Amino acid sequence: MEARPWRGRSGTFRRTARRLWQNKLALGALLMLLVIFTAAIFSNLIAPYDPTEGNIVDRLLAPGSHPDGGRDRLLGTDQVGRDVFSRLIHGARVSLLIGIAGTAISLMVGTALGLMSGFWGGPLDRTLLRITDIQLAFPFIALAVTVISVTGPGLINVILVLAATGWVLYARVVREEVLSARERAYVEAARAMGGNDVHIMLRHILPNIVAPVIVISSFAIAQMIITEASLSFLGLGIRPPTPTWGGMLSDARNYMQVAWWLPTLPGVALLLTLLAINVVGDWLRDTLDPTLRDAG
Amino acid sequence: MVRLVVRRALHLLIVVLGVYTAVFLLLRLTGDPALLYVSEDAGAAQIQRVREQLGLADPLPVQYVRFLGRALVGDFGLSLRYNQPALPLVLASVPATLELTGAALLLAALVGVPAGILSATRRNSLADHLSLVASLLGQCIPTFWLGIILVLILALDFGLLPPSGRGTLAHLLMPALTLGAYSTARVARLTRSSVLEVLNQDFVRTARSKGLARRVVILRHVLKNAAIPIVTILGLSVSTLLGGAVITETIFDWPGVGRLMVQAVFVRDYPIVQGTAFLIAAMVAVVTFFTDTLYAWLDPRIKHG
Repeated sequence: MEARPWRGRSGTFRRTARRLWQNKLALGALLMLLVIFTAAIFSNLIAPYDPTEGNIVDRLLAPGSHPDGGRDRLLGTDQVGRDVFSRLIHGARVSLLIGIAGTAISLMVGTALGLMSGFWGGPLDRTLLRITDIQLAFPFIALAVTVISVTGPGLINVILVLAATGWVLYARVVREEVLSARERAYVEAARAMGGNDVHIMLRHILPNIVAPVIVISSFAIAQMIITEASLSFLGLGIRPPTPTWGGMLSDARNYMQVAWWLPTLPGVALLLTLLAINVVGDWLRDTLDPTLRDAG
Repeated sequence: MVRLVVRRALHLLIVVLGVYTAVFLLLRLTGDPALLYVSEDAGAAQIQRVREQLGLADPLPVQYVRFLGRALVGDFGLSLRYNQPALPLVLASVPATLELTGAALLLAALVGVPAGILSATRRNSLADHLSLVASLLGQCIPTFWLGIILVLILALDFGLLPPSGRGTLAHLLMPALTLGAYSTARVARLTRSSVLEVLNQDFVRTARSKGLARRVVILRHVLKNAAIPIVTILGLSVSTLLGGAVITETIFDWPGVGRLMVQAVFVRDYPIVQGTAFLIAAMVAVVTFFTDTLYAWLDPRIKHG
């Protein structure tokens, strides 16, 4: 038994924490995410070299090399002599930044639209459904590429494109939840007591959609990270010299046979990040809302 | 049933029209397309002349109708890069994409579905755990990375398969694996949960208690019921596969719609970008239409309801 009681509502937090502790895999994944997150935030402090500065003399060094008069090249150098380890760490920052920013915007736009659409119905709802139908039919990446073709690459554009493609899922799921919550008794009661629409939406319906939104968000972040990586790989994402994992992989294609670490390591970084997010996301879904099992 | 098909066909048309409108607006409202047709140092008067020539000076609704009319007869404009009509160029690349996507879909269906069934029927066994791990990996490996690694190992290091291009079955193998990995994993996972759900239902227990052999139960009852979500997910996979094709085709230099689109984006060849976007949307819409119809045919509740 706990020595001190938590102050959370009905002990949900304590229950969740205990469930997490029991699922070692999810716990491990969460820890890995924390490591990546920390690396991303403190990249300037952790990275031993400047990620954009290349030293031609030191180009294409294998991982673990000790160049004369320099520090250890933990993970080697690339074709212009930039330190791979430092670039990977800074790449983490870019990936996470884009993933979170894109998801945050999608979340706000999609949830707001879904709330309004589900609650008020009518032509707004019908229009929203049509638009989401049309947009969902289109492959994520193809849509991103098409929009980038007009806006041009760059950090802000990528975030906007990701938000523009990602809001749809939030809108649909939130709308579903609202439709089912709308009919419940407490909503009728609230109305009878004179609550207006906005009040009911915020106070009564919003708490119900928190769980599904959290679950979707975890998968959304993963999707955004990989879409950004794909765009950067194609050369349509973040511009050099900013290091991104996708961009590093694209550069590596010309040096595949001479420097195995260049096409391998950024991919490993991506894989580990995505694995961690997916495992945590699965766990969140199982904990918060098992009915969303097929959404991820 | 016929009424359902007609309604779905209308839906398809609306979706295609919607995509078309979106592409039109996107290109018109974000910059001046006339700038593409003149050299860098053209004067304002010259640009205006080009604009009028291309019909860009007319009000937007007029442009839209004209655009639509031209599209209906297959005129998407001239490719800026190849100086040929855009649509035929785009259509010429479709077979390659169909080949690749078809192979990947086949992989997903032939590997993913049995894996999922196996997983569900031997729950918590070693096979199940291995399958789950493989599925998780398959969903998390970035497509382009998988492609690069496959090329590195199979083509460059061991020289077993050609690293790029289209032609023989050997050329198709790596791209199909790369493209299909994610969808195979997804299908396996969903098949597993789908079959598990059906296995837990009462009628299965009834069939077993009647003394039917396990295999018969599985094949006859379970699969029929689990078929619907499986068909749905296979249909949805097509959209994912077409998206993944954009990347896979670029890596393996596969002459399909995806590669064409990416190349066009780089040189700002907007007619081609439009054409490829439109075509991808059309392909997805058509597949969705067929999937929905198949779904309706499989589910007796909809057929007669």
